[in-house]
Amino acid sequence: MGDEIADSTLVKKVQGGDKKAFDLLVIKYQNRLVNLVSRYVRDVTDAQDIAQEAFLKAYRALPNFRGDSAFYTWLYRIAINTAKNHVASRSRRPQEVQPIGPDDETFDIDDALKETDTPENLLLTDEIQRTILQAIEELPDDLRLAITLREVEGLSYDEIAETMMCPIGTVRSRIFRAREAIDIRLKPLLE
Amino acid sequence: MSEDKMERISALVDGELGSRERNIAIDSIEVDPETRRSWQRYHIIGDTMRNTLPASVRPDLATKLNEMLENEPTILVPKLKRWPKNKFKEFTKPLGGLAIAASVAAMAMIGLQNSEQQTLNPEGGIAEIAANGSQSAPIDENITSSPMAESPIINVIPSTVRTVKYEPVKNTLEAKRLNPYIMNHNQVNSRMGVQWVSPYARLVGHETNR
Amino acid sequence: MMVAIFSANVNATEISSPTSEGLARNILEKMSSATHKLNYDGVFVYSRGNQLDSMRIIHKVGEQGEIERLISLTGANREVVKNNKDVTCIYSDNQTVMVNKGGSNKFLASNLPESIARISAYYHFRVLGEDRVVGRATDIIEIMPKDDYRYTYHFWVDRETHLMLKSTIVNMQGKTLETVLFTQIDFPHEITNDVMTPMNTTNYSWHTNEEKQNLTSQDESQWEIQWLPDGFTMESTNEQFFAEKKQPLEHLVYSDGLATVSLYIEKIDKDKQPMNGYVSLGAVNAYTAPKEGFQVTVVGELPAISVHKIASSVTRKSTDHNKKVLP
Repeated sequence: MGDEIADSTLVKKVQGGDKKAFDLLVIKYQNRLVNLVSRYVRDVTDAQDIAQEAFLKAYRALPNFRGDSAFYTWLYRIAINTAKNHVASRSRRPQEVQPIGPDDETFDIDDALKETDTPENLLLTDEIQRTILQAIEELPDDLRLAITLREVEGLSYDEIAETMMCPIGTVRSRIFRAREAIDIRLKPLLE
Repeated sequence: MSEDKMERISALVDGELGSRERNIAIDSIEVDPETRRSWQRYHIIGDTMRNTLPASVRPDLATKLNEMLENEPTILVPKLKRWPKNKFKEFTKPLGGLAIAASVAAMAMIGLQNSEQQTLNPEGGIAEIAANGSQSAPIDENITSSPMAESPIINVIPSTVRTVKYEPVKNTLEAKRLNPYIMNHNQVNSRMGVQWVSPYARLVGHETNR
Repeated sequence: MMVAIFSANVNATEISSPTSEGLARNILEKMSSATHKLNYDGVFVYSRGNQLDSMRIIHKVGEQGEIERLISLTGANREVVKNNKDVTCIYSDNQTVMVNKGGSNKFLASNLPESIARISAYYHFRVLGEDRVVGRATDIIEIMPKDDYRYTYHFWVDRETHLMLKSTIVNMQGKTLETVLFTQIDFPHEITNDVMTPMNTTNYSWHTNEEKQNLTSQDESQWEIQWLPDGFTMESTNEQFFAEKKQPLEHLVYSDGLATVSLYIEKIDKDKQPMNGYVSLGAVNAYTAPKEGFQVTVVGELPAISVHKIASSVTRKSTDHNKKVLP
């Protein structure tokens, strides 16, 4: 799928030394990954941290990634594995906090990030969803259908063009205008 | 911000750019923080529509990760490997008949299983799985033992066909208001008997979801 | 095109060959017959998305015809009891019983071989192979639509009794939307009455719902659907009240013999905001939108595109049409 070709371009860039390309992949998949991990751990902060750890592991393993499976499938497996390990180790770990110092061999992501994890860093999904869904409601029919077919049904521009009986350029433009209209409402929430 | 540029970013989200435009779009995100934020928001829109947002969103997760990556070595993999060409071409259109069956079987060959069935060792193990996946193993060897994956042909979820993980769009504003219609439809359907137990099952599940 | 490697029984070149299609049809006919003629008692799980539920189904054939009891095993305790005359739903969570009267016999279309013939005009049948479900040997039958507006069904049919033991509904992209899977199945020679006795409903409030069929054909409705996938015909139309509505809704049901789709039309309540949107739940999609002061809602086991297209094609007939329906 077009999606994977874009992912493979990014992966190749990372493999070619472009760290920033990895950032694009992280942004693309972070929510889905945290959502996935949340099924394994209750704590919201833990889920975020595990997802972050999974991304880091993925980055480190990237030299070995050969593109035989989709990048997300591969990332997904790493995340599940990381989550399971976390759950397993949590149940064995004693309750007291381990001191972390420069001599400490193990880099514990959880502890390192805890200080920066104040509630203000987290935005409630409820409000975001409500805003977005409301904006989608108010879209003109053709824009709403186009973006729904794309984002929910997962159709390609080609397929959407066939379904809506319009040129591909129109599909691309409609989806873009739908996103723009929604973004006007979403942007203030995130800045 | 130029319309053209943003439309290109939108098309990049959908993976619908040719390689030239794709590279331009990627560069523009890397270079401009504003564009990067748009890239992020566009994905939040999609995640919302597919209901794959976590309970809370952490806007700076990627930024924090970038900081961590600064301490990581830069990867340089020699450009010997070629991505398999045309691998995804078969899956770009809704397929019918033999073509669907063939591609589903083909994906089983590539080893794209319902990934929850597999556990791996991190790092070292990953390359192995990838390698195994690319060999043409007969379907039977890919049978996993979970009850839901008994049939290797049918239950192979072709996750490469649509990397978008399909989640029911349950919390649209209309979901609640449409509930009674859906329930009524399932009730009528259950009396018709054509689909046997499925309409009942939909009813039972539907109610408990509210 | 890639070469498909299937399990031993199916040859990739056999797709919809006369023998495979014929064999599949034969098995399907036996399957639909078995559903009605056998005594069975089983437990199945139903899965869609993240949801997983299980139910028990007990089916008894006797002198009065068929009696069926479905019991929810997850979530709130609920039951449905079905017989030749009515369908009774018992909800323990809000202590109500709802009885739906009205000749359900008429609709047991799956009983007849004709219904399989009907489906064959719009779907391809194929035997995909064999598999084991709940420890029993089954044949996998695929029913795949000839167009892009429907879903594909797979049935795992028990070799011995021809009862369906597993089924999936799959979309055109190959994604499984819903699964029904039996985890226990028994074929008792006799099913005693106490097994069929529903739960205690003392102190429950009873509601009886008679479906009034006061519209016998689409000609009498003031609305018409301009587009439906090939082969969909109207199964019923009636007037309904539900969800505390002040006005009745017009409810038209269409089917191609396998998938069903409902169309609901009602006058928009001036105090309420019109609805506009999609909902997708497994294989069921719904779309609703206002049209000329009326709310048009389409719900069915069809992809979102189809449901949208059907809804968009609903138009009001010209006003000089003689009607006795909703204002």
